[in-house]
Amino acid sequence: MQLVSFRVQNFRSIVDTGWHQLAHDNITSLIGQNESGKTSILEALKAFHDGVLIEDMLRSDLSLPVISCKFNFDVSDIENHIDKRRLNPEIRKLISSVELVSLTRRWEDDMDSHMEMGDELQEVYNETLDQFKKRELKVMENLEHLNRDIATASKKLNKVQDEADWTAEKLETVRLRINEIKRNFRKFPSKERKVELRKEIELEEEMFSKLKETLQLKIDKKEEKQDILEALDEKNQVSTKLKEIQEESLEKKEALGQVQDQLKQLVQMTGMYSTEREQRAAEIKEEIFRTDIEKFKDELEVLNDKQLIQLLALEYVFEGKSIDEALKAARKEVDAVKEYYSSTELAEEIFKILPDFEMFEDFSSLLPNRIDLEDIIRANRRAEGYKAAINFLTITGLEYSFFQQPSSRILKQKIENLNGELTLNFQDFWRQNVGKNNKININFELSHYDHTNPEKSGKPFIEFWIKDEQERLYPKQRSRGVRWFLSFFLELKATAMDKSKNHKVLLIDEPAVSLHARAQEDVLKVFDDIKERIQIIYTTHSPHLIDVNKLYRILAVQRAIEDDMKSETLVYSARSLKSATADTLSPIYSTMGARLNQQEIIKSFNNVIVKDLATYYFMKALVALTGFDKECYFLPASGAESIPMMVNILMGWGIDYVILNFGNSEERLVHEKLMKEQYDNKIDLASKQMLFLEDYQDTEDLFSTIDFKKYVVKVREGITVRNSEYLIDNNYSRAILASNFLQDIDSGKVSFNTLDDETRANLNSVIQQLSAILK
Amino acid sequence: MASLKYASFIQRAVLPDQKVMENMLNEFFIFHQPRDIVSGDFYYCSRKEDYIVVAAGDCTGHGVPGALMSIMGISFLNEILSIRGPIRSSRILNLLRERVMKALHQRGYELENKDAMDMSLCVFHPKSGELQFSGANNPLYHIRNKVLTEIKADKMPVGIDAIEENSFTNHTLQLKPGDIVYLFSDGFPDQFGGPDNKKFKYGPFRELLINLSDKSMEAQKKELERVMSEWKGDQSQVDDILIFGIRFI
Repeated sequence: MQLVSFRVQNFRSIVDTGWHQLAHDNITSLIGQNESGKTSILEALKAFHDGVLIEDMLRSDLSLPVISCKFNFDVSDIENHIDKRRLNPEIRKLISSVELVSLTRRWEDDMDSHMEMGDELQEVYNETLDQFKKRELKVMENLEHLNRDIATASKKLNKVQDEADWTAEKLETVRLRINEIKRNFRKFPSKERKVELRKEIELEEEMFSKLKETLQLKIDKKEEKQDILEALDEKNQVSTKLKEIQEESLEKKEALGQVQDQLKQLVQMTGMYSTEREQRAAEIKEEIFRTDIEKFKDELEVLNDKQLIQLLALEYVFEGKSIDEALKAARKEVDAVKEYYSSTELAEEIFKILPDFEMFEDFSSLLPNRIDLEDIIRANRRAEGYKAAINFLTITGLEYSFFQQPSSRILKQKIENLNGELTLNFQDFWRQNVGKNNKININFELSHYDHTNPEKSGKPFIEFWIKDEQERLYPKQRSRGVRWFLSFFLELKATAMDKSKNHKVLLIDEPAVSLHARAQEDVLKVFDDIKERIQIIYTTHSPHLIDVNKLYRILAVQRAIEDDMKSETLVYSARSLKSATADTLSPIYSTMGARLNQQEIIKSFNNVIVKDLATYYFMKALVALTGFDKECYFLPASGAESIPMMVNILMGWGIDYVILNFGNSEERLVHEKLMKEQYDNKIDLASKQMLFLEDYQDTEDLFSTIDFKKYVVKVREGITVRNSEYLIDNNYSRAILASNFLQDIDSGKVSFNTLDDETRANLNSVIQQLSAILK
Repeated sequence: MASLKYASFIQRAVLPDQKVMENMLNEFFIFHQPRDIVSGDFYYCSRKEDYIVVAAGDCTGHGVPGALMSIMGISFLNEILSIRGPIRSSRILNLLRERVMKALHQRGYELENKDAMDMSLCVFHPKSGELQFSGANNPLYHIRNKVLTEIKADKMPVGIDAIEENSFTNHTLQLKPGDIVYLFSDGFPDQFGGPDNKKFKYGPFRELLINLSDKSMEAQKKELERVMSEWKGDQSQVDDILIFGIRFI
């Protein structure tokens, strides 16, 4: 897996870098002024890998960092390392159809972080979440209806109950009245009265039976309503359970929030304690908080699952399933969902096969004079040279116990053997990578502090020496170059010995910052040599650490408002370097200048003055492509307006020159000015020294649109304006494109025959004109 | 329907004027039979300095979408011939492709619009008798003394290609008086019909053109129309049909 691009959000001065691609050949340099944010990018990448965030990495508004990295991969890389059955089918399909996978690390309030899959796959997860949310909404809607139905049913039941009570009461009254009449009947009434009473009884009995009938109806209705209410109540049981879990979950979240706040406050205090005791107490407290947070998070996860089960069960109940059936179905569904990797789980699995990110920085990575064994045992990363010392121990295969050998004679002999091996290894590296043959020995010894150091008296430390034929010196007494290379060698060696087979990304802050120019170029050589095995991202100010022929390796970093250290950090990729300021780009300009000097390009004849560096590269490319056999030396001015000045200088030196101008308005003006001032508008005179290619606005217009797209700007879209206009409209850096084009010619990627008829005809025509004017 | 008819009126209006073409080409015919009211096939004829540029285009689809593309194609050709630069058939197709790609926002992404046009385009220089030809999927037939030569097209459309775009090839021919060239879309050879309801196919199409080549251009057109009508019979027309024949004198 290769890291191909990154995006950093909310990290120190960075608000959002946007996605930036790293150089395809594994060496990327970040250039920019001091405090521009170059190191922040390295640290952000390291934090992406380690998940470790320290307080000063936060932005002043305390917005939490989000760091994403994109990797290219082979589908087998992933499929061999994860449980394929646990991949959601859609995710699996996506993984096999894309070539890049991105992972994002997000930090949370407790400064803890989690990984999640990048946008390509996250969308699928979000869709699943959305579906659940939609279902939840539907369930909640149904629940509202249910509550309304329960209220209505309960009201209806009460009403029926009242009616039944009233009927029963009425029935009782009628029954009593019938009894009364019957009693009167027994009191021997007159004949007429008897007839009346009989009639009355008949009427009352009729009423009684009617009321009885009504009562039975009411009772039936009541039972019916009761059944409805019971059925509704049954559904409500599930919702009650859901509510309980939701409340519990809310309480847990609140508690978690409180602990997270406390932890945040505690972390903010780091480094502010005056005594070691206070510091230790704070550390213990922090550990307790972190344990609590973990516990709450675990509990919350369990509650979330329970909540989901109740929610889905409720959905099934609404669909008509019995509670038992619904719960069973819901559990089954949740189990199935949990069977698949969640975004975080998948990201964590993929993370295991990602490249390891290692930071190489001067303070802890340069070999120290000595380091206390105690610092090594306690893993005190703050100790000077800690990383270099650990690298050293890794290479020599030593562990702490080695230094506890009872026999000092055996210990000495072993140390001597190891010193010999290490020296041989380093000399080999030095010769192969740097091409030098210095005989440098690396030695280490175990010593103990004596009385001159009362605080540490008797405590062991490892001491390092670098010896050559003349003297034995501490690392710090040696040149910084030797020390840097030695330490870098230790880092590479230790990295190579790392048992994990993962690809490595080495992040280097200001490599060889104070080395001599030549030594810095050696560093670049070493990078080139190891780039197949180790991907390198480094920051630099030095022109010597930039390969002018490989400007695609550059990312420029600068503040949004120049010199305002409070403004946000912006990153420009190679194609848009034009937008970066001159100060940011100064290493590139220096490199270009330096290279031009080295080529000693000003000769006594056939010097061709061109507008700028881009034209210089394009013309060099043209000569290389056509195999033009006349010697000619292109001299780039720093813009069309500087051409007359260069003409004056060369005239003053008595050096022969030719001026090459294209048809754009600036060069046309220069051409006309020189015609008038130098040649008094005499065409025959001027034509011996001035070549005016007025049919082409600029060098890039010599290419057919299709060749320009394929080989220069490398895009695939319709271009309906001149090539030179397209570059201006899209803010491309001509110099970078031209330099890359020349590089592609040198590497054989582009040749005259790969170009089309139109381009070839144009190039031939220019070469003919150039040939005619040159000696 | 009324708007469609009006659209066909507009489409006819952007096609080259018959009289202007007669002045430029002397002997020629255009057999243009759209499948629907408007057509995705179109022809083009224009003069640029000492050169005459002719083309037959076939846009993806037929009916309204094809017609819109064809109007775009004609406008772009007019624009290309109005700008400075060498007059080469390959260059014209290259520049046309840039315009189509830009207009349709084609950048090689998977789900983008893939519409394009096939085209045969000739640049004729009457003074020297030189004919340049470039083809985007559609070839050119050249008949001299009843011998037909096919000048093959590049296998790519005017528009985004599957993998990458390359320059079109510029073929040149030295014409002799009486030579005929045919530019056409695939509508004629691809039409179903005949006793077995099969495609007409390119072999019989070439035979037919060879047999007709000694007739006047007008007679050729009539004969092609008749043959197509008989071949098609009651079958419906599959695609737009366009054949553009030119005899050089």
